[in-house]
Amino acid sequence: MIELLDIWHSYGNRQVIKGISERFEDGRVYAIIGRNGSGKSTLLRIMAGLIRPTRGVALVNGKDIGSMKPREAIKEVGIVFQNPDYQLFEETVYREVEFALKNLGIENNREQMVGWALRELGLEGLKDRPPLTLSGGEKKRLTIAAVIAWRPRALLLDEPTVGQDQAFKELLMRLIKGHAEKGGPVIISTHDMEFLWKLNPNAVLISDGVVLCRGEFRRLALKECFRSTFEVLPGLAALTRALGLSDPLVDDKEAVEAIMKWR
Amino acid sequence: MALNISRAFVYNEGSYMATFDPRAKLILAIIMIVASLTIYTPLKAAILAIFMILLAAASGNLKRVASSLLFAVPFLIIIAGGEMLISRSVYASLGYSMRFANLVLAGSTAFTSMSPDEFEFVIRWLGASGDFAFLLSATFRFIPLLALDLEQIVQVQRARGVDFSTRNPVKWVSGMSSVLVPLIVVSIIRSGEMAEAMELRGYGVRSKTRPPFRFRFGARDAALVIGGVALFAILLLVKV
Repeated sequence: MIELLDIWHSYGNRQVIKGISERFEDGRVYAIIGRNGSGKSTLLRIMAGLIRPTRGVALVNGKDIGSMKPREAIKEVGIVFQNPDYQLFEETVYREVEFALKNLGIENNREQMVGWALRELGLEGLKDRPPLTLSGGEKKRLTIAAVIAWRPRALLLDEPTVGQDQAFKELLMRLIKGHAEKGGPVIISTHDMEFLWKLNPNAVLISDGVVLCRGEFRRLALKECFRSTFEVLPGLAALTRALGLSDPLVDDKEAVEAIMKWR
Repeated sequence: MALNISRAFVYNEGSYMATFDPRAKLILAIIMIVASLTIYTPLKAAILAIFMILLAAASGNLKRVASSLLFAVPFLIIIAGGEMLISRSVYASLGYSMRFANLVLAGSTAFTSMSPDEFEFVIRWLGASGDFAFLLSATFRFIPLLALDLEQIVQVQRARGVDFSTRNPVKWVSGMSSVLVPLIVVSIIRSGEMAEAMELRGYGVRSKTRPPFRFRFGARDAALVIGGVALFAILLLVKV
């Protein structure tokens, strides 16, 4: 479990997080949403212990992540960053995934763990390729494999769907649900509302460094706080509103049925 | 005082130094860089460092310039350690590492006090072609971006278990390679994208003219340059 207690953070004179307190339970999927510059990425970095907040504490299973030893913190929380080019440097895909396992001193089952991560992301056929020659989508998958390989309890994903095709999104959705079922929380920061509509995580909407509202994503997307922040709704949210339904439409099939009934 | 490497080489518009004539700032930067390279006795190098730190403090750039030293620390350790192995002299290793620290301080002083635009105008004023001036100012603009990339990459690799505080040299070099390779790759990608974006927006199609910049070289600009020259001369001539 990750718990944020009255987190404040500023870059110079710019206050980006203003007193956020949230709890992210094990076994559940969360999304942190908000407009550009609202503080989403900063919050993820604070949860991973990469940034110390100017005020407040981020607790991971009751321990301040800022005071944990790096190796201990990494085992608890794994974070996948947005830009794969910031990460990849090894000679082969296999070694890229193996890199963190070596850093963490994992000797037993290392080969199996790398193999498992490559399989999960559909990269086993590319294991001998230099990472820098991969396509954008493959690089992204590799960065995720390189983090899930050591199976951190909590998994944080910063904009995981940017520039990715539908097949990758489906794979990512399965991976996210699978990880949450087996361990700690999975927390995603994203602008991809259609992806979130399908995934339907517990969403926390932040704006200007404070939590505006929270709740199950599909229900949150129908609320006023969501509309006032994003202006444009996910397709099925807009349709749900237009048809005057109280329960959100889950998928296209439900949408077609609802339209037919409405006619 | 929270230090931030990504801000160490970024122009500070609000600083007192920013108000000086760009030519005075460029001359001072050149003097400081030349002084950093030529002065190697530890005491003299320390005096030069103190001068640059005081200048940064007086102009409101202390945080940024101090952050540049944070960036230099690993390199200072390598230089001092390498020199100790070669010459077995504490004096020499201190001198060489101080020299590098001063070079970083001089760079930070230059970048925090002069904007890329001002730099381009001075280069043009010196008679350089528009393309050459643009090339230099584009390089100037890249430095803060590079520092920002560096900070991001360090965070990414820390999240993968790289320990940058390790005392084991093998681990340290391995950790640094995990930073340098992505940094070079990102820089190449960015420079390629920038060149393409410029071409797509018509760079080179028409002759490059920019409105003239109005330079104002006053008494305080002269004092800044004279102060820098005087310090350099004293450090060169006085035997310590």
